[in-house]
Amino acid sequence: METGTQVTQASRTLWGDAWYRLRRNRLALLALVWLLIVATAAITADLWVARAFGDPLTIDTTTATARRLMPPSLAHPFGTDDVGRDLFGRVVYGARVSLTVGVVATLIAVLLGVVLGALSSFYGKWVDAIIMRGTDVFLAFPYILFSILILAVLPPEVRGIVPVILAIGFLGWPTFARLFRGSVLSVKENDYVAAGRALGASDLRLMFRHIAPNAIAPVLVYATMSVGGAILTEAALSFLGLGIQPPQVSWGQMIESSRGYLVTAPALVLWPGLAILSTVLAFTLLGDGVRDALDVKMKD
Amino acid sequence: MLNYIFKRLLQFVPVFFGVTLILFLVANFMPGADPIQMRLGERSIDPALKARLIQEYGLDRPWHEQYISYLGDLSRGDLGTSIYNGRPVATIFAETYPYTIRLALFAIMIEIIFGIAAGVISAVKRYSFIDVLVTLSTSVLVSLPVFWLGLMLQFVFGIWLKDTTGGAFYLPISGASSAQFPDWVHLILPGITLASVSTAYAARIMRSQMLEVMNQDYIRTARAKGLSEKDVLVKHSMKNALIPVVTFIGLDLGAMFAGAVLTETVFNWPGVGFTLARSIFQRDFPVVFGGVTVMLFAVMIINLIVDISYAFLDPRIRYGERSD
Amino acid sequence: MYAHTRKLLAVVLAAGLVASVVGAGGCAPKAPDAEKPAADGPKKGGTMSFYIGEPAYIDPYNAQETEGMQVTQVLFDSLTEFDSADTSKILPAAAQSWEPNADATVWTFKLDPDGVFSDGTPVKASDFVYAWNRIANPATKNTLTGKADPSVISYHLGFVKGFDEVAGGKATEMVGVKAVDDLTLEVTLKQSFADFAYVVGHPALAPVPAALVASGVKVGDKIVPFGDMPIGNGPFKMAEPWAHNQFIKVVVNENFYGTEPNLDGIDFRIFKDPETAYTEFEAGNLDFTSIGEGKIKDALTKYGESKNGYTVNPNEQVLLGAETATYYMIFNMKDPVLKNAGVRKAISLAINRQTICDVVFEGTRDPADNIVPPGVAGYEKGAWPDARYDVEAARAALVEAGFPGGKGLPVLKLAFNSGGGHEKIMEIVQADLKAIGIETKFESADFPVYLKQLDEGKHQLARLGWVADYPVAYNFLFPLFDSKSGDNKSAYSNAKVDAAIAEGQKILDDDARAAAYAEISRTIGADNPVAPLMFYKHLRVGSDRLRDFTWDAMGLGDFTKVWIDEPAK
Repeated sequence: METGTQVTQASRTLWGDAWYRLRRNRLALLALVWLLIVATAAITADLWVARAFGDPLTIDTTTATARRLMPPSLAHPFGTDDVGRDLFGRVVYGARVSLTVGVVATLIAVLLGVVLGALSSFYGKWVDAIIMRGTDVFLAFPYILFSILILAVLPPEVRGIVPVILAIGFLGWPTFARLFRGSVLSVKENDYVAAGRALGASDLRLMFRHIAPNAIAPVLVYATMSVGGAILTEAALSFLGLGIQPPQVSWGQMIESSRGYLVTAPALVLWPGLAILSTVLAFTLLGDGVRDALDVKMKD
Repeated sequence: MLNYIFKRLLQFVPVFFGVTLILFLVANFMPGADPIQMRLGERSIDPALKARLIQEYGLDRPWHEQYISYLGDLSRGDLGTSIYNGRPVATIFAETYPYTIRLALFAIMIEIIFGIAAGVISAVKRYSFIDVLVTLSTSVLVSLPVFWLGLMLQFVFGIWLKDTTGGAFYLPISGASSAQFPDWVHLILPGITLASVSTAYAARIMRSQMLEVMNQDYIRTARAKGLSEKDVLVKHSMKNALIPVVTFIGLDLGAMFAGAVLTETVFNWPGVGFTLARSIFQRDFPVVFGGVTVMLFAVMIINLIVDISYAFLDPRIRYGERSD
Repeated sequence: MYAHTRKLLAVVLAAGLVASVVGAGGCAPKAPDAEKPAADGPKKGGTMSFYIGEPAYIDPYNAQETEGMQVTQVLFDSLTEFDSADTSKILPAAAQSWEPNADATVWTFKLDPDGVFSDGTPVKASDFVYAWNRIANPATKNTLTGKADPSVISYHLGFVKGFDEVAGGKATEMVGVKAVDDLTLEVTLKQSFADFAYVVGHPALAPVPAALVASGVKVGDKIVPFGDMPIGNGPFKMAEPWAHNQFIKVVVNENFYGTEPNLDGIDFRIFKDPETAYTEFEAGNLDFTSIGEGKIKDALTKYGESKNGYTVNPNEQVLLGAETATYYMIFNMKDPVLKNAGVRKAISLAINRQTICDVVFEGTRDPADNIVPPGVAGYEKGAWPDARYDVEAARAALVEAGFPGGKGLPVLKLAFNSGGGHEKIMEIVQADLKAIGIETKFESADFPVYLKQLDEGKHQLARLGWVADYPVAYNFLFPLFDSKSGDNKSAYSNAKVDAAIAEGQKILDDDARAAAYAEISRTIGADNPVAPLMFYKHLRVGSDRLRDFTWDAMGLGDFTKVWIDEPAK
């Protein structure tokens, strides 16, 4: 048991060091601040957006004609869209969907991947073989096409954010499973695990107390980057008309529905795109920062 | 070597059956759709006629029977016919695949040239302005929504540039050919779009590999022996740093052979990605099944070729001996 | 003032053009003479390029969607054709004349004796018999695959005697279609159908050479299936086999019996989406295309609006003429809530049609006031009293229906197919209904799923569009409102209306018949089984090379009159 406590202490300092290193990475910190701003704006949107810029989610059919495609002004920082709604407000509401999809879908993928990766690495043999062939199958399928298929299976009554989250989360597991399996296998080689096993620790205990905390770092790094990836996938699915359905707003859907205005009102395409770019970039930079902080070597 | 190829082919078997089975199951559990009705859209087809067409396409049979007959047809080289317009699926993909291949090869070329160059320069001039620029722009590139990048390139090079130069200079923003431009010009914008993310990754991998290799003993030895910096760089560092990049690019080429749904959609590129996506929307199952089948084989062949080519790049790899 | 300027501009442009042509010849142009040749009228030659999406079929037996019909109609001539100047009229085409019997059950068509297929074989009445049986027979094979691929548009011939037997597989030839001699076709119908001369104007009902369908068409030393290289009796013929997803090239058919076209040929260029086609058009690579959402105003400033809405000439290039098609909401009348006529009336009155037209379509669609669109015989302005925007009246109707302010109403499902650009329209409908207290919930699905749901009657409120096959009111009223029709997705059932629709086909006089159907439309409108929202309009634009190109209300081009004049660059 002594070894166990040592490991926990060691990992505590590992995380502590990591946090210290992360704080000194200016780019990563900037990214974190930006994400906090976006998240705060998205969470509090109901409190201020409609009051400041008018309801960005519903169309006022009596004024739509007069208010459409207005240029940027104080009242409408990004101008108005083609049906007279405030564009800035829509971008803010879009953040809600994007962040929710990004975070929840990644959580699902991590959970599935870690469980399957743990099973695979711990039991080896046929369990490992089946799960690894499963990852082969899933990775052999082009990602976007597979998500289109999954979304097509779901009945129309449930269309919207939930199926998108499920589809992205469901398709994300193989990478996490492989990653976790790999790092568990390398941790397993360590002396303290062998010692724990010799002392008669149960499988579960070994996994949770000793192996997982040390194998989770690469998963954490990849998960941070994956949030950005999930946001991109959501945007892509919405762009293909499969993702978020109105009256919910998402950035990808905003781009899709104003694609026809690329020539006459490019701002309609520009703003939601910049919103995606800045948010995903923040997750990428934060992921880089976490990787450097945790000193994880990844294939990139 | 032959042994290795055989082993790889054997590995393909479970993947093939896994993917196609999942596909058939997914199709079977799709909520009630009426692919036959797509032919007339909003004008309803006579029920008797519809029943006949459903029978014609075997859509009334249980999924496992459909799966078996799909395998049977496949073994005879028959991929079936489209529900939407009655055309042979094989013909549809024979028409679209050349476009996908052309675009993939062009994108890979961009990836090789710019990815590797940026990575090398960035590693050699570590901490310089160029290094920072490369690192930052690769982060931006991997964070860009591909379809949005495509739209922005269309706006800048197709619309804005055309307006500012009074129509004198601009790039085509759609399709694979036109009367006005040579075909390769049509590849430029979709090629850049498709290559964007992978080029960034290639540059990142190349950079980190170069940095790692350059710190290793044999490079120091080479330097100590008095070899010129250029020789060290080209003959020793680059060659060894290239292997992971080639692995990555090889995998990427395989992925591109599966078609690029988003790029093809934005640029109206008549390739397989778009065709497959549209067929899913239309529930044109024979086209979906046939297309995925062709794609699986194409990806497998490409991956095999890439694998084999390593052996030439790196004599240390002996395929017969690898354990996995 | 504006018109004057534009006219002046046109003259200047024409003058400049001729000057440059003459200049190229090496002569110094004289201004007064320069104008003359332009006025001389159509020039011969040139190839027009025309945007279409990839057609499903160009073989007439399955020609249905707009894409395929563009090509089919230049390759083939049916018995009659719709007058491109006024589509509610028909003109002779492959038939020189026709005559119904007294109750419009037997029709005799006299074929044009000069009619030939582009390979030189004369067109006989038996070619029509063959073509029509090919459509009716569900065992008909697709020439590209050799597999059975029945025509899905056999409904065109549903009234022909013997159709049911052939469709049911009990016979292979309809007893009602007879070649009396080489130039006389006699068609017997199951019931009176005075609009039949319009039906046979449909491009799908063209004659087809049986021998070539069976053998394929020889191109060089290859045999190409008929479906990729159809041989017809129209003004143009295939220049080469259909290059799928790329182009279909046609050239003048020198054997054509009618007016010889001015063009040398047409390149139907295939694009996957209209946006792309439009950019190609702007680059000067296309002569005719559709205009995407959001580009209409821009297009109008750049290219000018066509005077009659249908004909392209330089600086009058944007076509905004009405199409014979209606966009409407359906109410499922089997639904316990929507059974209530007052609720339907309230919904119809609550929708701000003008805003949809102005905002989503930038004024290029018209608010609908009837299910029958203009350009169709039997249209009457304002025939549907509740197809207008009146919030007060809508609220009053809700009160009358027993749901004041929407109280007591459940949340209604608002269904539409995704990916068809309907989202914004539906968002406006949703906002308008909310304004009178009716809450709705979107239910969008991929098209094939959506169609299935409508078929199974699972919908409450849903959208649909109806495009005329033939420009007659019957083509709207029978399919959409007859209680036995498969297209009656509102489940509207009114025995009087059913009888009146059938009865109208006994009236041989075209105007009297149109008046009778206008009356029937009014009767139906009082019940609000659907809420007509918009009439479609053309959203097309032609290049400045085109002269006198008419794209009619039915969405068919007149390729015989158009000519090409290269503008001065």
